[in-house]
Amino acid sequence: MLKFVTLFISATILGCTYGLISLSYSLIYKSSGMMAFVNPDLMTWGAFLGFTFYTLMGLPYPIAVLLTCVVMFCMGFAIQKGVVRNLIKRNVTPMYITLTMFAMGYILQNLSQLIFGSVPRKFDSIIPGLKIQLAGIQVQPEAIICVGVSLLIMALLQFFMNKTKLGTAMRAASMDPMAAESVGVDVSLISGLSWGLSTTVIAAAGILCGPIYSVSMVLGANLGAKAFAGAVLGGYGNMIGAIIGGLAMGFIETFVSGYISSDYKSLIAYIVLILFLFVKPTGIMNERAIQDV
Amino acid sequence: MKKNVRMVLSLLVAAVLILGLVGCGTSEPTASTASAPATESGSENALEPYVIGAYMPITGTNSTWSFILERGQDLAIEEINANGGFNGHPVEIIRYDTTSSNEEAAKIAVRLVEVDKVDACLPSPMSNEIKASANTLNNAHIPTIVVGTSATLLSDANWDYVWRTALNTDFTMSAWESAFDEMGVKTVAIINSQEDVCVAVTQAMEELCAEKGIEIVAKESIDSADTDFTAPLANIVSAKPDLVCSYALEPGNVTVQLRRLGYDGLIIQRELPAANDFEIAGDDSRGWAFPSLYVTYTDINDCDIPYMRSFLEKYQAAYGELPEYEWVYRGYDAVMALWEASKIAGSNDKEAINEALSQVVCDGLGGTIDFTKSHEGYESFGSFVYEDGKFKEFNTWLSAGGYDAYKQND
Amino acid sequence: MLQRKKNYLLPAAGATVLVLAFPFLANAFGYTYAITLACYVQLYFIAVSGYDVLFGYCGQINMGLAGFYAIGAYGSAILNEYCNIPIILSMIIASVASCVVGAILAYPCGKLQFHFLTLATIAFGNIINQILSHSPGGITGNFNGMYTQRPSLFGFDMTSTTSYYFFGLVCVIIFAVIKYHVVHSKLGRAFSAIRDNVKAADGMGINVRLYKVIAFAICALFTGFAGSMYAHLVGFISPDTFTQKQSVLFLTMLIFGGTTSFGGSLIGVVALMLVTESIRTLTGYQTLIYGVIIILVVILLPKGVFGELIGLKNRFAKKNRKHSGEVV
Repeated sequence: MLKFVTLFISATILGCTYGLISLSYSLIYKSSGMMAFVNPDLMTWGAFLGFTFYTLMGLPYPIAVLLTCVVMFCMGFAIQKGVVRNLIKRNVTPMYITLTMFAMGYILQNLSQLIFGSVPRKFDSIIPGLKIQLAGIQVQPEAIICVGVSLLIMALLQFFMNKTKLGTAMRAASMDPMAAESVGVDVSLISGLSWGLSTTVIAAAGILCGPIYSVSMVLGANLGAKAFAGAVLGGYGNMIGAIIGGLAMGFIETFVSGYISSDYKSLIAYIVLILFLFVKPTGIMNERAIQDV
Repeated sequence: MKKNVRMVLSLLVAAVLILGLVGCGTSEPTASTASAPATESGSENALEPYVIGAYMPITGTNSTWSFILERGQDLAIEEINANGGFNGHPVEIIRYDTTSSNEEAAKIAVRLVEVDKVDACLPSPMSNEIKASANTLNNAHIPTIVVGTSATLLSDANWDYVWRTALNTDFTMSAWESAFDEMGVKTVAIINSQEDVCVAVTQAMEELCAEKGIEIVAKESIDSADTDFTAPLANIVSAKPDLVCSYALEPGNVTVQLRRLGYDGLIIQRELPAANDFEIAGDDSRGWAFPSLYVTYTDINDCDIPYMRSFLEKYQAAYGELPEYEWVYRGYDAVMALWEASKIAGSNDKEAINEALSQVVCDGLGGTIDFTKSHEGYESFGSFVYEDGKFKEFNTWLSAGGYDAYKQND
Repeated sequence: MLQRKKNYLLPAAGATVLVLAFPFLANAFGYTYAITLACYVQLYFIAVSGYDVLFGYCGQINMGLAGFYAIGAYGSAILNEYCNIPIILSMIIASVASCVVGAILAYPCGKLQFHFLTLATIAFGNIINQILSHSPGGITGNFNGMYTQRPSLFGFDMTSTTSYYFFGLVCVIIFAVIKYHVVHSKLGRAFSAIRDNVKAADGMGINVRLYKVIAFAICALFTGFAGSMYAHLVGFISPDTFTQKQSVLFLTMLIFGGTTSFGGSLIGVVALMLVTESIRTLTGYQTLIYGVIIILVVILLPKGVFGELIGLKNRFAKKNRKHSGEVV
């Protein structure tokens, strides 16, 4: 029984992390129709920046988080404006844009290594000394914060996308840019904002799981690749779907690893991804994918 | 206008390609800083430098320790050049980055042999990169010294020209032979990553336990690229082992998660964990026990081994701090062993040096480097336990009742 | 209109002599490393040519090429090691196996569009990587990898790089001929039709699903063989070679050189190899420069180097004909 509870708690934490990453993928897809292959490396950057602000510079945690989010937002905005927008304007084959995403990922990886070093680091405890017991297992307070903040972000985003003017503008811009433009939506600005938002979400994912998993270069790459499964499972482009999908992936992975064999941990994620793509690409929430023109 | 820009660019690219062909020529070997004064004096300008080729994953997923390995190599070269070089010739080192790719390692080995024409080689610490490239070096009769710890690396391939100045994890089981008896260990759990090094030492531990009649109550394998190990660790903890052997590539995370699940006993590692592992594990690193040739020091006065101490002083003078990772020792040892061989040989000829390597017995940072019996430089080593923020010699600690006290503190 | 007949005989003969004499020229110039590089160029050329058929001609993306590369490499290594099959035969069998897997994968992938196709192929590549690292019974050696041998023909072991170069040359010619026939046949035309407008192609009676499967299978065959060539060239394979980065490298080479042409594939491969060698001295910045180059090529040379050069040539040809008073 103890094992089940342990696995359950750990699955929830992992699931929330996946949920946030899947959310950032769906955000970009929903708002600009692109696959965000650069996000895993952005996540590593978010984690390292948070580490720099919090542990190295000693700023208080909320300020560190805020600063990281601001910097990453600007980064996402810059990538959209500087690179992506440029490519779209030149009518480059969409495949090449995907290739550019990978290239950006490599650049970010190498830069991260040059700036932050290649040694994995430890994120200082947010609330040092505090140990929480949950059903007989010691849980890091950072883990609880991770789950809590993830759910908060998800709820906020859901509200934002559906109930606010800006969010509706984003959805309009992705559904039909020309129509949106004609009703007065500044599509160019909105795309930049949505990229910035997506980058912020994934940076948040990085900062939140930094204390739990330690900050290293491979942080984003490993989680990011598997989070695609979560996004597709839930319905690529659907916010709630991303969360549900991410949580589901966390559970599937943890329980398969716990009860069957840890050898198949990553394999199962990719199998789920490919199965869903073949059988039910619209995912659980039946999200109709934007048709690639 | 745009078309003209395109035209110019494509011509430019073609030009760059042609230049690239030219650029494929010999790369400038980097002389380490201290060799510069030596080569400035007119008489030594006539002497050809002794060129050592080195390659390692400086960037990429496996690049964590390369920077400090480089420092170890550089310190050794500095010292050698200040003391006569290799039979009078100054030493220079050419370094390449494998970007954590086996293919690059294979190509680099060929390049070092055919283009840079190196006299000796210090390959990558990654086992797979060595396997992809060492054959080339061996076939070209280049004396090569590896510093990876994978047990089967040398024994599998039987290379005449490849030697090792680092711990072979296969030898480390003897540390636990008598210790397990004294500690009264009945059950053991193992968690290991899939890398060569880890799998080999896991097998060795399994054999040891079988010999002693110790039951292995749980055995889990993990992906070192992963970050969450709760599931396999939960299996381990629920099996209630006396001891856990953590043969993971980076033990910090594993330990933290293991302790969180409630395991407080000793955790056996396969070698000295790195400083950042201690940083990540924090207090949870209490109870780490491992075999190792050496330890890292936070205070130079803790060190009472003269050879090590003088090395630490040199490192501190060059970099302003004590080394945090033991990879620096390995880099240093490899170059020094080569130097010793050059002294024995009296010449810098490859065959002579390789022959001389088989006669090398010299001081190393981990004890004595001895190549007379086999290509493995180190056959004996110490074992340590980490408690109260200090490394304690294991057997001494054990006989002084340390383990009993430890168990009571749980 | 006067049609100037182009005489290809002389340049072709010249090129043939150059290619055959290459190892000896390299030796004469004292740059034998070039022979090793040439071996890599050969196998990458085969892989990229295969990818060209799938992406350049048929317009289908495959970001999981490393998976086929791996099946070819490991297939050949395992067959040779455990079943004692002679290497050249094991290379062929492994490529055919890769081809079959490609066909099987292509069937469900056929109905996926651009982004999801990318994801599906990425997932495929990762699945193969996972299977290689956690193989049943450890047959692949998991993370420890496998050693491989050099092929031998009629008792002659190809241990020297020069002999492997000539072996590779024969393979390149064979695969180039296969590609030429595929591309200049009904298949090739069907592929182009699918790439340009799927619905129109369907309307014309082309069995889109079937042709996509064939294109995938051809690409998998080529890439699988290239993988087996790689395995026996290096002498050691392990799962960390067959990752996403490898797939991206194939695509980069294809785009760099230009699609739908032999010259393009060749230039792309050679160019990237040269670039890698030239930046080798800039240790620590290689990946960064690699990423920047990709972006520059995508932005500035979308048709690839070869494509742009051909465009250049055509413009000059047009200008010349204009000047000589011909009606253009």
